[in-house]
Amino acid sequence: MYRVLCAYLKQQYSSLTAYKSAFCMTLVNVFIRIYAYAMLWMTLYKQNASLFGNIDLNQMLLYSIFSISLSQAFTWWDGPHIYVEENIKNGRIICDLLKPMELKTQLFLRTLSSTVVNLCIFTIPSFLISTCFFKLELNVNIIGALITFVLGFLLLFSMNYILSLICFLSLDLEGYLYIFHALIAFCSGQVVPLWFYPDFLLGIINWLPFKYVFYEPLLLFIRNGNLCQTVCFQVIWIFILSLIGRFMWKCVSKKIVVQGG
Amino acid sequence: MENIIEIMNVRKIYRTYQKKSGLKNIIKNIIYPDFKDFIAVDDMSFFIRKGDIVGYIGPNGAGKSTTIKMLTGILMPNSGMIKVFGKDPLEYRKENSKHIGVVFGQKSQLWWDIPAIESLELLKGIYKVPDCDFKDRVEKYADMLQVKEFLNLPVRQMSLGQRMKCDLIAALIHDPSILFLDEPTIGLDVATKDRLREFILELNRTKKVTVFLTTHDMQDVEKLCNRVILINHGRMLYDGDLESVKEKYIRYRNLKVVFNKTYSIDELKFLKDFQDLRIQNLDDKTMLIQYNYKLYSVTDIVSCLLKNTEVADFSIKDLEIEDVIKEVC
Repeated sequence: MYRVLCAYLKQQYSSLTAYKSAFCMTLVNVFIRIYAYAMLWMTLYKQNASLFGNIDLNQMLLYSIFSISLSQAFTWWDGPHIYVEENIKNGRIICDLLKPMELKTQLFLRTLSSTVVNLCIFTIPSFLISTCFFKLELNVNIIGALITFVLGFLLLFSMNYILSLICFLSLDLEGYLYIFHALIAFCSGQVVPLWFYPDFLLGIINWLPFKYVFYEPLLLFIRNGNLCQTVCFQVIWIFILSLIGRFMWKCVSKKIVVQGG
Repeated sequence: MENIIEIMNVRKIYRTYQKKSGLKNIIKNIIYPDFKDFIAVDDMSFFIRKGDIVGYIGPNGAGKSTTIKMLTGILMPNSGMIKVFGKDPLEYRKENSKHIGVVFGQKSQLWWDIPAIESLELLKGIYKVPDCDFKDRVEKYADMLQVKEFLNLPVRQMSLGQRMKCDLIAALIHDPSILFLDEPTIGLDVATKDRLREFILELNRTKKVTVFLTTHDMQDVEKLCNRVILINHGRMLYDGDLESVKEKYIRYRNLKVVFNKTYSIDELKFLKDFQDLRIQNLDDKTMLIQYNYKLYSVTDIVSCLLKNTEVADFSIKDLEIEDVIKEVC
């Protein structure tokens, strides 16, 4: 497995850096987003700092900057579900299905490699440069964050895998993607931290898995979360979604359609 | 010799959605969608022995690719039995895939943006090929197919022929016992086609690789296959050697003639002595003459044409798969 992972890492690195200008523009885009959000939070803090309760500006900026940098590693808008959708549409999914490795394992290794490569070339450099630029104090819980970010990645992958399997039946994900991306953007705390949300909305979000991808790990990162509780919920959700994925694959594998002659 | 592939009374039905056009049908299409069953493969039975090179031929939509997808365990047949290496390919897909290689002429398994060698290295990991075997195979196959200098090129910068050769190496990297080739020579030039055919023959000769080939190119069948299975509308029409199918069913050959001036079919009345002759106008100065080669030779017709008309050029057209099928039907 280690050899396959290394080969996937090499392949993902080559793919992500194949077009030099596109690679540079992605990096520029990350910095623009970081700068825009940082300026927004700084302005809001100047207007009314009491809105943020016990979260100070330094923590708020760390949350926001790392959220943007991390989303570039997780690339939740372009995960394995998009790869499967494209390959189902052009019929190339047959090449993946013909390999002596489960489709889920192939997708997992591919996504893991892409996340690791993105982490090294986008997330870590953009986060470190931005913290220097905004002169932020790096008062963060590295260990707790690391554990929950890894579990957050597994949770996101489990959701994406279910979407991939839906695509085998629907052959197109467009409508599903609008809903899924909206849920990730607004219920995971990736764009706006959940403490700004009204209680009735938080009541719903607490019953969904999305906040365990970004919000809870980011809270731990800025030394505000509960490690045990977060890890427990993440593991439970990963288990539930994996069971759903396994059941769906059993149904889907007998109904596979490969388009094109 | 042992049977490596067996299929018995296999049937595959696709359910297709029939969308009705028009404004009034927009809601109807959603509430009462209309589905139609399409039989892609019907009552198909055959077996293939180890070391065979079988041409599985038929017109577009005959069910060739569907059969390959069922044999490789991707699609589940609606009824019938399929055994590959004595096992159900659907149930044992993962296990069987270690022993089969597949090349789809229109679907590459190489990654578009990265050099072919990196795709091959990834396959090496997935198929757990030992380093020394991998090195030997890549070197040997790249040498035979003359693609050594292209392996470090991103696939997007390769020509179709170079990509197809690399795809063939990718399909063989784990040393499979069966090679499924789905239209491998589509869109290739004559020289590349020849090289691929020589390579496949060499592979069959030295490693006893069983080849299951679908194609529209009669030259592929003639140069490679020791057996042909002819299908149309999902049903088998013929199973045997190519010479027998020609002997049994094919009576005609096509002679394409280009004249210096325009002739009508009536003006070629002097050919009426040749029985069983069909003449067709292709354009102002070109005609297609289908003649029964069992009754007379092409030289008889050509000499008669040269005597009575102004012939600029003529050629004997290759037999098309569609012609063979037309005759068999």
